[in-house]
Amino acid sequence: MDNFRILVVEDDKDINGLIAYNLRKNGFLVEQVFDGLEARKALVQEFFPIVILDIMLPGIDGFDICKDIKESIIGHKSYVIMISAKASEQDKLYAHILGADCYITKPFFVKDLISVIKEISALSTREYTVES
Amino acid sequence: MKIRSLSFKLILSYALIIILTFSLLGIFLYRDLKRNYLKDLTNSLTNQALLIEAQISPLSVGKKDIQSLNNLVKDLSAKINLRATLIDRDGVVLADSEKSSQEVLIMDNHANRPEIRFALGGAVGNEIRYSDTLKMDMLYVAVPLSRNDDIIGSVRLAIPLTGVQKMFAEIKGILVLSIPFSLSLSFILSTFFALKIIKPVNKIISVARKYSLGNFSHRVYHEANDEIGELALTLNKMAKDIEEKVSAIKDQSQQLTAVFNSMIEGVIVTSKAGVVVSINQAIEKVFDVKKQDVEGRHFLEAIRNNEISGIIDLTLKEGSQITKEIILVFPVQRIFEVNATPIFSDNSVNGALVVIHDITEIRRLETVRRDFVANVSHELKTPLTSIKGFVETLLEGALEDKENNRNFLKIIQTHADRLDTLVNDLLSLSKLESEGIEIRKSVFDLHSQVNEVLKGFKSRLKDKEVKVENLLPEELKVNADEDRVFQVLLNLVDNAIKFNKEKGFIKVYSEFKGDNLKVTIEDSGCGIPPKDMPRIFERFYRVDKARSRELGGTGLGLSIVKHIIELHSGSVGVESTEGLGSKFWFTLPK
Repeated sequence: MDNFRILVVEDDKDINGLIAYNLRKNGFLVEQVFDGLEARKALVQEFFPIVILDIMLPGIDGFDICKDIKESIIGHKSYVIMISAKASEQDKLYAHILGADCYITKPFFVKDLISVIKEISALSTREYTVES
Repeated sequence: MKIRSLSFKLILSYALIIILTFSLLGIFLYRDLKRNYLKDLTNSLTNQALLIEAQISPLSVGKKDIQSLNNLVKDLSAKINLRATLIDRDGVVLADSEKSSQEVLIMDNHANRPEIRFALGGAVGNEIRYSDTLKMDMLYVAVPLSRNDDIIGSVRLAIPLTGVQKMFAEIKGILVLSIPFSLSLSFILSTFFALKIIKPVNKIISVARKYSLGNFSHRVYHEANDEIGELALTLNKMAKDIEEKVSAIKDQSQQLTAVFNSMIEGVIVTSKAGVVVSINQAIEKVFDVKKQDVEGRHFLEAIRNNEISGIIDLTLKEGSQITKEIILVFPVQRIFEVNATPIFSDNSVNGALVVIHDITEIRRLETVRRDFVANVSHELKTPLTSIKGFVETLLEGALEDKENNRNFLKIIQTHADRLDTLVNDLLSLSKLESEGIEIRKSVFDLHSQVNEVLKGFKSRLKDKEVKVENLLPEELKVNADEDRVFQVLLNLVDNAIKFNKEKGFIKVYSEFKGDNLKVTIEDSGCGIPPKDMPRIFERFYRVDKARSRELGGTGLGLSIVKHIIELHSGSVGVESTEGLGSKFWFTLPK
């Protein structure tokens, strides 16, 4: 789990910091970016098994990035956890259609987020073990 | 054609009457005259014959007396200037005034002559006959010659009818001649009368023609008291009634047209077959068509909108009202509510009334409202997420993290403050937007109010080393809601400081523009990109979201400014050069 890197895409630097702090405390490696463009760059450069994605981002929004990831336009297929203040069913449905693996509405419990990530990481580690 | 035939009929009937009258008159007159004349002549001849008979009667009448009798007859005949003949009982001529006694002897027996037969039978006989002897028409009258009640012969008088016939020929001539003469006279007179009768009729016809073309303002002027005068009067009254009714209908239809055309909603009326009967101006505008090009053509052919056509067809088919929303893309995207209602006549669908209502603006406002709600929830949830998350993090062990715990608490504080500001701004905004809001106007000094505002920002100005100049004239009295104008200045100066550069400047100055006082707050900040300028006063619109949030902005400040100024019937605006600074201004009516 040492080199298991998670990309946090969130424009609010406090929330970004909150997520990053807690993930690090749980032993994950974290890359923080603050807008859509940076997220794209990061995703092109390296593979992140998990991407935590805010929807309302300056520049390119979270839906677009999710779509790009799931259609393998950028990087490999990563697990996408969407975090948004948008709580409507339409937004959740849209995220689901685009292929997002999880949708968490703000404000959220940090421990819920962490447990979701732990589950996914366990899953994806297994996948890697099988593949390699 | 009809006019000519009517006068022709009149003239012809006059002529026929004249011919008939003259012919009947002529025939009866001629016949009567001739009969009476001949009767008189016969009577006169009879009388003269009787006189002669009286003279001859006592004398002996035998063959031996021929000489003396002949002389006597000649004598008498000469006196009365008539031909006289004496005949014995056997029809033998004894004497004749036109013949000598020798000639008498060889004359034919006269017993078979009709007048002689009558006379020898004891009556008076007469006959008109062509005389071979004298070669002319003659009137013969014979009386019996009697002695002691015995008929011993007959005395006959004869007169040539040449004179009489000539006279009657003349009468006939006069009668025949007078026919063409009176005919031509009657032709002239009848033409004259016919024209006189027809002239007013023609006048009526020409006026009636104008009526048939829809011009009811003409009147027939005919003073006569006859039937034509009556007809003219009736026609005039009818025209007047029609004129009044037409004008009433016209007024009504003009009112309807005005209503029809001034309607914001587009209206289409179609027939049973879907042919456009009428459209109004709103439709002309929406579909960019001309009334005259569309009316009378099938809807689909004229306006080419499948959706509306489908709605019309369905309404006509089912006879029920249909409402549907459609989107027109050309020339700009607009949303319409189409409402089709069947028009009934005698219990069957006879057409459709389609009302098209532009609901783009309603939908836009709905979107704005929805966006606002989404924005509010997002703006509230973001600080809440931080607060909630960091509190949880602290409670879950970060309290012991000496390196970060203070920092986390500071973050919580910042977001709690932000929430507070946001809630206050939202409350202000909702108050300003609520209906029936009152502004409490009072006269106050704007110069000192600006100083008051600036005082509150003293430490922030000092931190950033921003130089402020209040260039408003002293004692600048304005009549406005003091508290609210204070908030306007607070928000604008707050922005001017927030987005200013270090060691920048802020200037507040004013000028009078007509009846308005224009106040400008100029800064030397980062400025606004041109593309953002039109939307800068919108709620939650921020040029740089992250930076604004970092600086503690809610995205509602300018929106509140705009609301307050508009409540004062003023206006707001911004001029800006990106990278050099902005000038926010507002006006207040005096």
